[in-house]
Amino acid sequence: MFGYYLLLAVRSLRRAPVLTALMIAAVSLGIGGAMTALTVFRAMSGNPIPAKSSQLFVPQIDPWGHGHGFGDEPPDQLTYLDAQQLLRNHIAQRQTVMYAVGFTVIPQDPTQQMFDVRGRAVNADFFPMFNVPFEYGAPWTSDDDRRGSNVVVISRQLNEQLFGGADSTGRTIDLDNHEYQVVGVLGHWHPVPLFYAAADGRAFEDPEDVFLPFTRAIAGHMPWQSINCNKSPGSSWEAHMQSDCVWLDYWVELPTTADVQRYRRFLYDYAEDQQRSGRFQNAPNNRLRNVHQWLVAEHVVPDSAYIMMLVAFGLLSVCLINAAALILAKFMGRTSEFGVRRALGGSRGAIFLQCLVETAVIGAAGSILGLGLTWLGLAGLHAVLRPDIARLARMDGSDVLIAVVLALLATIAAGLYPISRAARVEPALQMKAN
Amino acid sequence: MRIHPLLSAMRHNKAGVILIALQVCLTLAILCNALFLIHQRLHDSNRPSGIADEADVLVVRNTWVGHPPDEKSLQEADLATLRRLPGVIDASAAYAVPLGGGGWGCSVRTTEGQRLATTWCSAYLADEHALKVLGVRLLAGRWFIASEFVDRRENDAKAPSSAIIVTRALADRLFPDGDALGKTLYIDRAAQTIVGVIDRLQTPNVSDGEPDMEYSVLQPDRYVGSSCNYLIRTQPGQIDAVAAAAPEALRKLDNARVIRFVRTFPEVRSKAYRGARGLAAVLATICAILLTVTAFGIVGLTTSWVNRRKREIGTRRALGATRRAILHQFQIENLIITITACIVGSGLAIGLNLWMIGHFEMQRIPLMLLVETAAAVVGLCQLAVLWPALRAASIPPALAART
Repeated sequence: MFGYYLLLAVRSLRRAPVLTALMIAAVSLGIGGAMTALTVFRAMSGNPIPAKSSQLFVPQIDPWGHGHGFGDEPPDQLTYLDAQQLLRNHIAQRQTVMYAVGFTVIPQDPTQQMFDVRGRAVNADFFPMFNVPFEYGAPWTSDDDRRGSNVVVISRQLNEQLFGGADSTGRTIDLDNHEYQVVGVLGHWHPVPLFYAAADGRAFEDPEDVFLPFTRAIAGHMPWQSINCNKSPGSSWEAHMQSDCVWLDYWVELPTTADVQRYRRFLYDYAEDQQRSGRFQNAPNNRLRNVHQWLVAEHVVPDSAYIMMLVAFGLLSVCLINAAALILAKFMGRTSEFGVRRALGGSRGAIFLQCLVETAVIGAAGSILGLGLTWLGLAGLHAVLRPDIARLARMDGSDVLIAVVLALLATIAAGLYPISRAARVEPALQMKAN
Repeated sequence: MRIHPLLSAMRHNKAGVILIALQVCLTLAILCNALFLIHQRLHDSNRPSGIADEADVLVVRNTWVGHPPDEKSLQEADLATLRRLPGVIDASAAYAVPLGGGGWGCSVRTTEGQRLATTWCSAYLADEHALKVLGVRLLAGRWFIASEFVDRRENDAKAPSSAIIVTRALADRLFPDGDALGKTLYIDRAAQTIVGVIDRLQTPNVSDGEPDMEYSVLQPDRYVGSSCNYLIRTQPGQIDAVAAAAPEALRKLDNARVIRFVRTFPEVRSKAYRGARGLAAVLATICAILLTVTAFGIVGLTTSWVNRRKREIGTRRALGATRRAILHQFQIENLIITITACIVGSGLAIGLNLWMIGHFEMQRIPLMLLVETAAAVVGLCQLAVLWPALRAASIPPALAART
């Protein structure tokens, strides 16, 4: 029976090619627009580390009090003093303090040009905490953390560029005229968004090319890329370390809710202690956010992505209303045909099914064309969006699936009213009219 | 009386009429908001930066390798070399560049003990050459004098000098009576006296629709650091030659450096506004699709209505209705539907606008834009209905008799 209805549907659609083309065009344009926006939006708002996103937390401590630039929110980074205290107390299972640094790589071959790379000063825990894969070698040890050793972990790309992709562990690289020993080379790793760099506004960039021990960066007085000060610190490095300027990111791994509770308690007690000692002027104002909450608080998905979604789904709804009107017109133009079928013994259900199949055929054609248009739309986005965001404009398997299902469901939803109208055609009435 | 057959025809086809009206209504609501957003974003991205003749300004970002101790003399040698290049008018070292990102944020207080900042600002470090390079327009007061310029290094958070120049936007924000000159401000809690007011200078970071993007202050400081921007003003038409010659001349002078980029100011601007212009392009595309779908929808729908009403039209023709009357019937029918839809759609557009104001950086849609867009939509729908209406008008009266 289904095959017969399919045949009828195709025949009916071919009888009115212009109307059919208009219906399919409306569905596919709507799907193309909505899927283009949705694909980018899904990438931007995706979970960068699904296996652990509910176990990784960012502690925030407010050293300034209300109204100093963040409203009721504590700053999104920590002071050196607070970060040191959190590190020392070692309450979490794993923890890392970090900040972004920059280096100039000086290739051993003097004929090669020097180039800048982005780096990040972290603790050894960074790698197991964030499930960072290694192609060669391993993270440095906690002993290296303590001593501030001249060791680095480099990205796959940098290893490719400097060592031709060979196992470079044990070899040295020259960064800003200092020699560092390579202890590890990362495998392919690119969490999107780059959750741990959100406070630096780098949520959609590549991970850094060089990672080195935090203690080494501090010992080398490696300058921060950005810093927020409540009041002017002195000019010296030491003055900055003792100041209430915030510039450090901090992550902890807390596997169970009990761990989270304990850490919250610890943060509260710590802030209260600081208030009691007179360093903080305000009552404890802490946050402990997991990856998802952190990305929301950092406003990682920009307004423009929401606006694009809103307008694109607005387009989809207009297209669907348009398709609904056209489908209705088509079915209403065939009342006599349905009347005859009803008079010959066809049930309401049979008419309903026939119209449903016809609508589904339109939806299927719309989804295929819509996928093509999505591809075209994403190619267009590559041309106009910021490069770091344009990279996200790529369809994956689930995007394709969503497009097909969305097109079918949406078209059928649009067709429901016309279909029900068609199924309600009275047999006798139509016989009489003709 | 002539409206009558038309109204009854619409009543017979209630669902179709409602659907098309709904479509027009939604189209208008989305279109208005999208057009307004496009207008805003393009307007934002074309606002003057305050730099005179932007096309003649070049930015070279230089980083010294490994923080050399003699950064100051290296930098001075660089600038001297740049100034000697043919086609260069002047060059200056800057920590931040308008629209260039990064920069130094600062808090502004009007009284010393004030707990909360009055507003936020961006600090520019201006050396002796900055005025000539930027070409900012002084509205009141004076430019810095030689004795005010001092060195300022990367970690010096506190401004070492006490004279500042502010933009008109900031002066108006703090002193609405226009008497900013000579007043004392507390920039990051350090007392500074306003010696001059400039027309405008945009901040390094331009976020969408922010009102405070001209809250800049200039401090008479020579920036000294391992990474800095050389701002170069060239003679008109010489920028490409200078852009090619500058990195070469600098590398010849000293090769222990990385020149991260050489950008003309128009390039800096288009980079800063890539997101805003991108959004405008996306929205414009969606608007175009929206209008196309709606127009063709009306063509398709009216055509099928005409087909179904052939006999009725033929009968009316046979009873003496002119072709013109039939044409008008469809046109007026469409007019009634679209005007009704546009009235409802305007309400929806305003509602959507208000909702967006609550959630995004957005202002109120001007009423004129709403009226114009509605008129354009009605016009487009009239255009779309023309072809099927003409087909209806050409139905011969005999048709009714034949069937």
